[in-house]
Amino acid sequence: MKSTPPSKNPRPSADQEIVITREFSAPRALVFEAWTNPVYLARWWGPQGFTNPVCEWDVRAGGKIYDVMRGPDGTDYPMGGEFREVVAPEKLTMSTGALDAKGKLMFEFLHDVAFTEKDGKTTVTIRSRLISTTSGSEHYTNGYRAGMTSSLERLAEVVENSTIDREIVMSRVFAAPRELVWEAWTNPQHVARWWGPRGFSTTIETMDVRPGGVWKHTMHGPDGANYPNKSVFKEVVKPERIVYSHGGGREHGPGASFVSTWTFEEVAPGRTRLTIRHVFTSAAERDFVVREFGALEGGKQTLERLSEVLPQLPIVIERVFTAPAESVWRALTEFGLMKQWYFPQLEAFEARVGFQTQFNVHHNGKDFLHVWQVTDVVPGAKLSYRWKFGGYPGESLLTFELAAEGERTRVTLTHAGLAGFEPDRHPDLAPGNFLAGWQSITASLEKFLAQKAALAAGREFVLTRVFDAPRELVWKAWTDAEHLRRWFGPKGFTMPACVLDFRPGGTFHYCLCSPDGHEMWGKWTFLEIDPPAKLVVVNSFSDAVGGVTRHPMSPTWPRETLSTTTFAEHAGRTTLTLRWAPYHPTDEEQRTFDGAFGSMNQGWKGTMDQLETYLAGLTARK
Amino acid sequence: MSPDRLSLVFSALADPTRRAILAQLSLRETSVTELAEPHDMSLPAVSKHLRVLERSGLIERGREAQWRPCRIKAAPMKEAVDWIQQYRRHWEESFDRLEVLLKEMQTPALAASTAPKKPKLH
Repeated sequence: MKSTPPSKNPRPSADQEIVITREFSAPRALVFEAWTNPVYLARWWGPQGFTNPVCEWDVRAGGKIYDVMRGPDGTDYPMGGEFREVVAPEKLTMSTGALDAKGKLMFEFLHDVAFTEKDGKTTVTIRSRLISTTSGSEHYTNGYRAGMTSSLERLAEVVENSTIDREIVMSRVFAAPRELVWEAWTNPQHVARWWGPRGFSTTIETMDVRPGGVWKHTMHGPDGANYPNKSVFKEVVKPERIVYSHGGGREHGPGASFVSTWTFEEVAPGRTRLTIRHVFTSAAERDFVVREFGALEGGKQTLERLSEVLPQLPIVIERVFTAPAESVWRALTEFGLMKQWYFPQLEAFEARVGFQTQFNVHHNGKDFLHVWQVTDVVPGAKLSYRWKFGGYPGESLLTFELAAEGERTRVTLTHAGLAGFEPDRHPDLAPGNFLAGWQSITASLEKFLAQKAALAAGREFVLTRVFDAPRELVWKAWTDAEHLRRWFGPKGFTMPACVLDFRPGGTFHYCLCSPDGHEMWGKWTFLEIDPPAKLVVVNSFSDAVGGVTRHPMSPTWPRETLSTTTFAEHAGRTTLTLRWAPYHPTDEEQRTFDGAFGSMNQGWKGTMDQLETYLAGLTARK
Repeated sequence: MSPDRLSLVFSALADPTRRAILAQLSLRETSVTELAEPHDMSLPAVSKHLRVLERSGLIERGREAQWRPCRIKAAPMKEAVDWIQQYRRHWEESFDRLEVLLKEMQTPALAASTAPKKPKLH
């Protein structure tokens, strides 16, 4: 670490050494642990009355120190430093100094800390030299001896009076949201990927993460030895805490039992601190485990492995919606609906394998081109699509799985492959952001489904299409007879006659003629005209004189249907949404309509196409 | 298909579980047990749905194997599918034609020649 250049005031007095000594009634290994484990350092570093809300000490040669000492009056005193040398359990060389508002060292002490043990007592000798300083720092540097002496008193309390001699504690911060860390811990499929020191693999026989649940697993050491373990969960508080009592050890060898507490703490959005605390029945047991199983180093390596596995884990969100599976499927696959709760910028969507689309979302001052390609469709049950961002690396896979639970639907959303977006280089694409995004989107879906539930009672057929024309023009094409006859009706049909009386209560009476000469009359009665945004019409079959008739092929088809057409414009293009439902139907008419259009909405379009293909295949084979 | 038959078919199709069963059968013949599985439903409950589908003429139970596979009956299913698809096509093809018209309306030279005239009476 560079020295800050001295100013006019006191030069660094390199030959002035401050020596502080204190004896502790505790074994050396324990005192050394208390000085080198940030979880313990936080409890004693700084004078009486101080706390350490931030306590990041990387205890190894070259490891950095960042500690914020908070005084009794709430004032923060940030401190920086570095370890020069660590020789466990006998000595440490480290430098520390207060940081100014800009994070620069105001001064720097170099400390040589020696730990010697005799007759079960430990003597700690600190030799400190002020190696650099700036003007205005005397206030701190002159108070060093008193402050350090006070810290050592607190250290004595920690090592002599508490139970740290029978516990193992460690802690690590992960760049992942808490829910993801929780998932990595509680899902047996993920746990096996990181549990245990390097070189170990783990087989999980059962893992039932709830109070009273049993966890049985065997760890396989690099030397071929097996370590069967059994734990019983005592507390499971999602997503903050897991407590279990553990028993296990080397096969045909000595074992250990202890109570383990894991706490998950969100220290910043998308950053989680995981703290482990194993409490043994005695100091001897604790020392045995540390010695026999290398528990301290092993735990550290386990957390390292977890930090490597976390970025690869998929985000999995499970939510139960109070809506029938069919409504949820429609919401997930029908373009017009998706625009309402999912991405308003979506330009098209079809639930069929191979369908591709892209759309732009402006966020954080940047443009994100979303590129989707559907890979898997099981109607009503599963939808998968590849999801990447134009101009960014990587490709993810998004899967929705639906399971009907009576009137409700359990939806499991899995978003995998997020590590490919290289979140270190592109922080906008960090897993924490996706998790937050999905939570917001599923909340939006919930709200949407609740609204739709009211409409579901009406059960409608919905069709949406985007036209490359301004709204006024599309409206004109819908509401002028000469235009209508040019487009209304399937391919090859003509409209030999029509009369349009365009006003509320007026009608559009028309005749459609099929290519083989078959004529069919129809009628629209205008209920609501709201140019150029909305048109509400009662449709029915008709005859030459304008009466209302039934569908010639189905006596139970609704005699009258209500269609609502809305026109919405965005960037010069018009999204037209046509909703169609029976108008004052009988039960039978409603059922007939449901039967046809339940199969017909785009979510089930795939089913119809599938059926058509199947039938064509049957016909060909005959 | 007779008008009554069509009503029976629509009634059968009005249930989402039955539609899902047909979707499954359009992939291949399937046994009752396999059909029940994704819906977490008891065998008697599934059998009830299958009876409705049989009565409407949409499926039949084979006699060949011990497991009496369910399969779609081509002719009635085809008529129902055609009938339903026709509605979808009516609108989709209408929209296709509307797209063409809108393009014309936005091209000045063509727009002039397609300007609305006075509505005809018949």
